[in-house]
Amino acid sequence: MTSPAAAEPDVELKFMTREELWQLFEENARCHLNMSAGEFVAAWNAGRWPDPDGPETDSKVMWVAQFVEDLGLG
Amino acid sequence: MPRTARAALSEHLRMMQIEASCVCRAVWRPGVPVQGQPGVTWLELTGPTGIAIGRPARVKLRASQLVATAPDQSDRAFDATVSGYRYELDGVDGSELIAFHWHPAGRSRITRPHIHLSMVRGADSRLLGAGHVPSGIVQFADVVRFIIAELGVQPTRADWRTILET
Repeated sequence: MTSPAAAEPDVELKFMTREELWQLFEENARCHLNMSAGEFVAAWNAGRWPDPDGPETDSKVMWVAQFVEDLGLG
Repeated sequence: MPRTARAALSEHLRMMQIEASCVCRAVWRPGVPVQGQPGVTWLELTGPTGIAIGRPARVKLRASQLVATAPDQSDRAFDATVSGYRYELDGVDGSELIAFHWHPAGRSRITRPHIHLSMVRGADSRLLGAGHVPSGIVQFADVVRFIIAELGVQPTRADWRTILET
């Protein structure tokens, strides 16, 4: 019997452009932390969240931080 | 078996899309390659506010993954494996409920897979709500199953059990 997954179509592997990624970063920073992406980068680099995954910070900082830590924006 | 790294990533993306389709119509998208980690790509499921799950909405889901592609043992095909993730569930009001994290690199001192039990913040917050509860590696399918089986969200496809077991 064919599995349901086997019947699903292939997906188009379309990577985001750097501009699209920045736009997503901007939307996330504004949505979760009420700041621009540029403001987040400045605060991050200034050490505003020395323990971003710690007890004083909620997970949304870590969510936004992936744009800096993983994707190298900023 | 995928013959190229790109094909392996495409197949992984297809499977993630099928799993997501058990609870929503959101689309997984690849971002750009991860800096300093050759062969690793960042994927994201949703927009910033999270995808509303359930009708009426019960929770909001955000998800991202780091996916590494590399030749398999035969050296004739490629595998794609998850090397990090953030799966986060919020209430419909945006309050944090639970977050499944694995971020092996970065500023956080916690590099192993863990869970934030954000919903227990309050009287016992110092004990659990703000802490990192250790976990094994959590698959995206496990999160989708949790949403359906434990949070009581109606699945959006009838074959969800089969999908999430494969």
